[in-house]
Amino acid sequence: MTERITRLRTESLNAINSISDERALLLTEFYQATETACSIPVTRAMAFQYILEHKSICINPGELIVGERGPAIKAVPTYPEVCLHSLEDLRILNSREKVPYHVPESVMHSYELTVIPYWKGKTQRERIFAKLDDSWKAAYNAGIFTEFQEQRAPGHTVNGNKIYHKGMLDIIEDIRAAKEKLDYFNDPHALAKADELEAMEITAAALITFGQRHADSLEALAATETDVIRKDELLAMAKVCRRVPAHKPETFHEALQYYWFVHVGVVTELNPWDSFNPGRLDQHLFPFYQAGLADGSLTEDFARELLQAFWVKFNNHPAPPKVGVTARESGTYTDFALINVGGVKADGSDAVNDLTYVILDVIEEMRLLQPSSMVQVSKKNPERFVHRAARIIKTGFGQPSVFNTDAIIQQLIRQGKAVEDARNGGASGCVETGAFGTESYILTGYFNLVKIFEVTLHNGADPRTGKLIGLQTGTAESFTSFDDLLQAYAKQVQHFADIKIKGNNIIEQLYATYIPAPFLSLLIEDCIGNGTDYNAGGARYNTNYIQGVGLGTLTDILTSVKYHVYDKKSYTMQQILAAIGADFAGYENMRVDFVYKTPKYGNDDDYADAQAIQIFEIFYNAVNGRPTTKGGTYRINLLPTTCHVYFGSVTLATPDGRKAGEPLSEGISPVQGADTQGPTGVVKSAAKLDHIRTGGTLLNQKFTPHLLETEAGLKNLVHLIRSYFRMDGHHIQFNVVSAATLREAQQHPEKYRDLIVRVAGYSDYFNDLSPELQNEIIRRTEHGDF
Amino acid sequence: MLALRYSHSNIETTAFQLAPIRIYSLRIKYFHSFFHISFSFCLFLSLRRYLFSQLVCTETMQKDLKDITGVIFDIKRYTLHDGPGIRTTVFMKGCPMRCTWCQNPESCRMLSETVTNELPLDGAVYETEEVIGRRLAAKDLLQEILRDSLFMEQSNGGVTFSGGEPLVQSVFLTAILRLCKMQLIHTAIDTTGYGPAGNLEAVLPYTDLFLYDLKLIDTNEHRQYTGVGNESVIENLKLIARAGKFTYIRVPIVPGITDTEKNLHGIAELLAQLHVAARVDLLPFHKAAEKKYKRLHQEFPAAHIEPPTHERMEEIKSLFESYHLPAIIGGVQ
Repeated sequence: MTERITRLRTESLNAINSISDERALLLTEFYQATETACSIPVTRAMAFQYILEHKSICINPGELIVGERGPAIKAVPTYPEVCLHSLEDLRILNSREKVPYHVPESVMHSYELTVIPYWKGKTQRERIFAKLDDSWKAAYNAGIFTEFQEQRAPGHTVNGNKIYHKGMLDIIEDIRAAKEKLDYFNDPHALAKADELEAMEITAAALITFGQRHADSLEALAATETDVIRKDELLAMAKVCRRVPAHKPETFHEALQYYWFVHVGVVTELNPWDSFNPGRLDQHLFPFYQAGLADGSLTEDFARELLQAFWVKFNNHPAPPKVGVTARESGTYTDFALINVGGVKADGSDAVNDLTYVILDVIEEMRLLQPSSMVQVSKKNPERFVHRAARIIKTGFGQPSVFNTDAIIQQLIRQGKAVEDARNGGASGCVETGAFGTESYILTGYFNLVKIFEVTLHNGADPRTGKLIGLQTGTAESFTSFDDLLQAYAKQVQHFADIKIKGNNIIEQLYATYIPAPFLSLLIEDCIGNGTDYNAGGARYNTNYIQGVGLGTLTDILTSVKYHVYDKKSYTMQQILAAIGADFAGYENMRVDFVYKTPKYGNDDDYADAQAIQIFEIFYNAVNGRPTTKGGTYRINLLPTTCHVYFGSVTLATPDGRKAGEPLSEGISPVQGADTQGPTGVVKSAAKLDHIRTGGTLLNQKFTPHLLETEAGLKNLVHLIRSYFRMDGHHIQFNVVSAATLREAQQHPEKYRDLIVRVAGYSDYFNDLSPELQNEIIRRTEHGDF
Repeated sequence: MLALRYSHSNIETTAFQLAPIRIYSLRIKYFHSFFHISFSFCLFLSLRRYLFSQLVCTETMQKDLKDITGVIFDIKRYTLHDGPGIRTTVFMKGCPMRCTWCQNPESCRMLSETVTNELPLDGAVYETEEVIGRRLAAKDLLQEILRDSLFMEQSNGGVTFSGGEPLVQSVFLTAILRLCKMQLIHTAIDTTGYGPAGNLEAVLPYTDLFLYDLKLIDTNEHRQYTGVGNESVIENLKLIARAGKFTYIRVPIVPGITDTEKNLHGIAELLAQLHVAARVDLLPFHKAAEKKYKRLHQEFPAAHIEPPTHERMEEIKSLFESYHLPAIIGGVQ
């Protein structure tokens, strides 16, 4: 790592996350000053233009890639047209213990005097809550589901390769051509399309202006720069910004800078979920890399440095602040730009190239949480590639995560995508499958599969409040068979899925009407050709997701009930209800039976795993295939971000031995500590679900560093991944645990029953070791970490 | 002796399902003579060994193999240190040795034993009884092993039979090895090598890899620290060498017992002579088993011994390398 990158990286890591009022004030200024008869898309486009023309240009010392969303590193703008923070919200953001954002006094003032007075009553959040009905609100408040779009705009999409072939001027040509083609005789929406296309053109021009403003600033900096080397650099950077985004990039540097301008554009226009994402970076950049090396204009070292500078830019951008339930479902600064490397090309051939390995080096060396990174592993990819990734995983920072390209392609083709679009796709956010550059795939909210079972056991009521929120499907004691119980559960899932989808359809329409995203629409095919906004169904493919949470916990709950009540008859339903009502106080032996003497998901035990499959089918049938208002289709995926903690906090004790308020299981991973048969047991259980019928599943697997310290250990990790993928597993992520975790494991061994450690010449479960040996391994681990 | 007795008991269960044996068993009933029983079993043993050696594999035979039972005490999946690739290790119960440093005290006895297990939950500890050891049929064990067959195939891994001493249950072991080979699974045996040559000969054709312990070269010392002499261990190793089987020699490095220069040179000389070892795994003594002894209400006889230092292990590695024997500390590359 060069001295420059070390400094940029350190500055980024040390910068304090703060709230900037720049965007909010510019937006307010624009709307206050502009009395316009223009359509909403055009007005929003003009507002975007106003911001990019007036926002401060931030060029940090030593930077190679320029452009900040706020006026400084980690200064986060707000989006009052979507979600207006109250003074109380700002105070909470400033002072909360986890994920705080510093709010300067000046921001409090401008909010109090300017932003709040103008935007109160005009926000998307207020529109949304005014339109949602009581059943939605009751379920939302009970913690049955969350709502992604109440504070942040839809996004969840990824850049394709369009910008590497077209400058904004070329895109403007395309827009004009689309305008020419509008059919005012036969197309009833021609006028709306003309407005939308006009809005798109304004935003494309605005980004060019933004690039020119950077070029101006760079030239001004160069004029006063005394260091001759830096002076040349600044002039070269100015030249890059004169070329892109107006024209298509010609060099590696231009390609990276162009993407970054586009990225800043997307996250300035709105606060979309998962920010924006360069997607298949090694594929997009390889032609520039190759050409640069061939004509001598680029060296591998400089390419590496540019990529590292690019990495820092992502780390400069913490997620826009979230409050309330939305903060709890995604309580992190990470904004989920997930860079993909590897996979296959559009023609289906192996896509791993020299640049793939350079990017993997960058991931390892930068060791930043943002951008997130992943490897797409196809059966066609070479072993060297997967081994290189495994070596980074071994270092224990949870990156890169590993995805199954062949499964992703099957998922996309099943959803009706063209094979080339499927192959150009990948995963974004956490684990979400998408066709990059052609699809709008919106995550609409987490869905608490466990809470719905709790409601089922209480005949439609939420036992925490006594409020009837579900259907009255019968009391728990009235189910004479396990199948009856499951049928009642299926009805409740259907009921809440209906409520959720109705809400989604309302929210989606409100975004289509009031919050179009003409700039984002430039980037995703075929918004221009369709003359339709990204938020209104302009993309080639439109998919909405509902994300199921708690599959592992619910599997263990159902298995426990089936095993103890219906099969072995060791406990009655009444006894179980009494125990969970008392949070197992006075029922400790029953809890021991539930935790230790009941089959569990994650052990390749068909008795338990059968319930996982049934839950999957119930959830799938309630959601999959239903229409969205954008002409797309609803699908399911299984991932939690941090929502399993929130959902656990609103769920009482459960018959798998989990106590009230404790987190649910995450993704499709087993309940924490319930998997005692090792990693092959876990992946076999997980592979019994039909991943191909989802749009992503998340599997976490813990490893101690010692299990990976030998070549053989590392090779077997690769074999484990390949085996899971042969069974169509979608994603696996390895948590190579630290000494701190091992200490925690000593305190709460029941939660770490699956923790494997390398001892001496063999491996064993951490719990099975004497305390002395445990201490020894902890010490070794600390040494290893060092 | 233990091995022989157990083999007989297994044959007994099988005998009545094999057509030719029916005659013998009828005869047994008819004559009611101890001599005849012994005679018929000996005859049966040799017949059976002949059939195995010829790799005869009729449907009747397969059915019989599947029904042979044995006693195991654990099956561990994703074991990385008992041979190449991702493996499932089957721990078989019963061992003729009583090594001072034994890491698997629960494996010694052939019979199941009940121990008290502690279940921690929220700071409290709940006691439960756990039975160590279960008898199961080869076909059921095969199903357990096949659970991870995809991983084995992917990683060039397989199954390892450990113990205890797997050769103690040689008929059962042969049966399960044969069943595994029919499924194209790579097989390994982690053995002390102790026992009649016949037990080893029976498994030779169906074993891809031997993990073979050499503890002490002097038979008196061997007797002192393991309870038995090492004559059969060395003879059986020669047998493996003659068969040209792929073998990892495993030498436990127990300070003050096996790590003397005399012993290590003795082992190295033998190995250099036999040309048997694909590699030598040097396994440093450790105290991981202390908790197990506690659960079994037994004293850990090696509690006073401290693990060898890393420097000492490196020295020992060099010693083996000076005999042109590739040595690996810990046994994993």
